[in-house]
Amino acid sequence: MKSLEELAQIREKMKDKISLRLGANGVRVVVGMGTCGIEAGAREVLRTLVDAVAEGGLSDRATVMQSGAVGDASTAPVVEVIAEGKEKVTYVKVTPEMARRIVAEHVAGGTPVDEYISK
Amino acid sequence: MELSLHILDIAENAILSGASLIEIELEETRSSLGVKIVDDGRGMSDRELRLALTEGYSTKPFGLGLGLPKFLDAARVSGGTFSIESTPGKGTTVTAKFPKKTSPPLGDIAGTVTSLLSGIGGADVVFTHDMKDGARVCRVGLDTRAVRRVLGDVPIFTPEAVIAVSGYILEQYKQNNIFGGENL
Repeated sequence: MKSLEELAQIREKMKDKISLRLGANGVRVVVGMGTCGIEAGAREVLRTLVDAVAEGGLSDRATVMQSGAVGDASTAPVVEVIAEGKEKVTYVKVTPEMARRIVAEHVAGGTPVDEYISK
Repeated sequence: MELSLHILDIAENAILSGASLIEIELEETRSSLGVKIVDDGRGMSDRELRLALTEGYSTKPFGLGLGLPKFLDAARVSGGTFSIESTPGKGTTVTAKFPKKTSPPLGDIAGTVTSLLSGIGGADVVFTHDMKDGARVCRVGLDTRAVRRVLGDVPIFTPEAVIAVSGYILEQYKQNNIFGGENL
């Protein structure tokens, strides 16, 4: 993208989808971006989640956000998936590869990736 | 740790301090990199500031705020300078200067700026990276206020928008990077 004006195309493309997302069935994906998270690779995990949600055409029902206060040295990076009407699922020590699977199976498919879930 | 990750950490502190505007200013020459992060968040008292610079101390759960001593340490170890000013109710300014020869690389600064889009909520970020090599001067930048104006009702954290903004910053580095693409 060479200029910000090109964002206008994204605005046109996304505006109808965004109104859908504000309705039910939304999924929030939250990445912990405290010091420990950042050191452990949270920036790359966040970016991978953003890419995977866009590539999967999931922006109408999933948001990728960050929060300050999640994860310590033994668990970071932490990713939480909060689906409307379901219990929050927490993934720890998430890598970009894991992030892709979390989006494909949990965010898109609705099934948490059991082997990644912190017990 | 690459400097762009330290910068991300300091910017996250600014978000958590309730800032509505966070300015990240880089000034790079062939030999040095200056970093200045200004926020208009709640600021710290002298006592809080001293504690915030102490390794292992944090005012918040999960070690938030630990990034400041680490950034100070990075400046010290590489023979650079570091200063911080904070006024309760007004905000905080963190300034550091790194000799490029001995400091960690800046790294993926575009990734740092881009990742802030998912965390700033209603706050804004103004990023500028001025590069100066003799008479050659160029600037890479991003102002989220301009991004929001074009996006209208579409939130700035929308994945498609985040990816486009990332591409916009990288494109500027391709056009303007006078230090041989080392920041890409």
